[in-house]
Amino acid sequence: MKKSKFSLPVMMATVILMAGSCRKNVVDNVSDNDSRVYITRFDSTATFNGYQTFRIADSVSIIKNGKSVQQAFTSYDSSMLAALSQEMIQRGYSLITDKTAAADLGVHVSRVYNDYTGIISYDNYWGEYGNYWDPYYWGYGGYGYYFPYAFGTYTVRDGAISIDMIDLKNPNKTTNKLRSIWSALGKGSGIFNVANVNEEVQAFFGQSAYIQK
Amino acid sequence: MKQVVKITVLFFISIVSVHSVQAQLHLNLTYNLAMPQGADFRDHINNTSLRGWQGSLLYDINDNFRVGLQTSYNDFYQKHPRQVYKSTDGADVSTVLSNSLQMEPVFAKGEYSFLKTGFLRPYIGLGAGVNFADYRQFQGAYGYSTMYTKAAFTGDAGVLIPIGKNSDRYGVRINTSYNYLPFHQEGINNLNSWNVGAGIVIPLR
Repeated sequence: MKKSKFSLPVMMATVILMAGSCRKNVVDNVSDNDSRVYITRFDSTATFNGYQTFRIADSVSIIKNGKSVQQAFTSYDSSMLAALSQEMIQRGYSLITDKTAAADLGVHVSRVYNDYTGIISYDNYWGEYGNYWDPYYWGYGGYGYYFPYAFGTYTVRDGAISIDMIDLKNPNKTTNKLRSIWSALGKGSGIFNVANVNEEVQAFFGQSAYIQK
Repeated sequence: MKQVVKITVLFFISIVSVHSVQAQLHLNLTYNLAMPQGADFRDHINNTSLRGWQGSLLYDINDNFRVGLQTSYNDFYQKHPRQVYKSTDGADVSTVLSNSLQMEPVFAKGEYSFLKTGFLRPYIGLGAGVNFADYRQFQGAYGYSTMYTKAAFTGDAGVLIPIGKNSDRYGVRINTSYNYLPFHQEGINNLNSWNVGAGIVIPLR
């Protein structure tokens, strides 16, 4: 019987190499645009058409590794704040610019940066460190915030834009808490690119049709 | 690896040596296309897997029967256009969803050839074993991966086409098979697939 010219080890090595080289790289097939993820959550007990007015923060909070490091107002930040204001007005809410006047809703924006793969949870990064946006800003000195929901299952690797809509009309005077009724989180490549601001805001509000006066 | 192969071969030789007529060990290597079956599976991934291979070590018990081990690998992938999903925790998530699945079932396999001679030698086969499935899902660029180990069954039919003067040894193998791969995870019931393959038969001993 003639011996085979092929050795078994060579064959098995070939098979192993074939196996190792045959998986499609998912991330390589995701464009910058496709990489962005937009997540929104809301308090189902909130009545969004029960609010008339809103104020929006005049700068953006920068949060790095769970700590508020500064307030910023870059071109991206100003574009984001303007786009959010415009969208809220289109949804029927009136913008109040006078800081001494009371508003029904407060909108603030944060840029969140993490150097590690972690879980975004307001209970963790907001509750633990607190006072990124002191409730005093909204005229409720001594209050805190509470979020009836949390982003519990999403990983942040580079950075995220975080938007919160706070109910200033119905503060809980028993617990001294201001309730967040809507939150939005965006992450992915180019999330802080000025050119993507409108797309981001449209995505957040497009999937939040319930925000309507 | 070499030791594992040797032990496997010796195991099968010891089992069938009493019944051997013309003992031969063959390595079969085929390129393998796999088409997802079942609504759940196709909702996740509908694309045919073009990245795959199948390999088997089969030992001839006699001119008709052979037994051995078979394994295969197929990479399934599909990117879904952006849409808004409702997550289990109530969030609305706008994302481009990419599903990626690599399956490597390993079977104990038996095959029966209907003809001992001839240019085309049809055969059928049955196998049972274990499926190793690496499931990955990405929201945009953010993903997770989970490895599952489940039962696996296969049935196949094909033809062997002997090549050259040593017609009992080298050959071409063309087959189709159905893999029944039970799976009740990630919202998918079963990872069944139709497979079509073509490759070579290499005598080892």
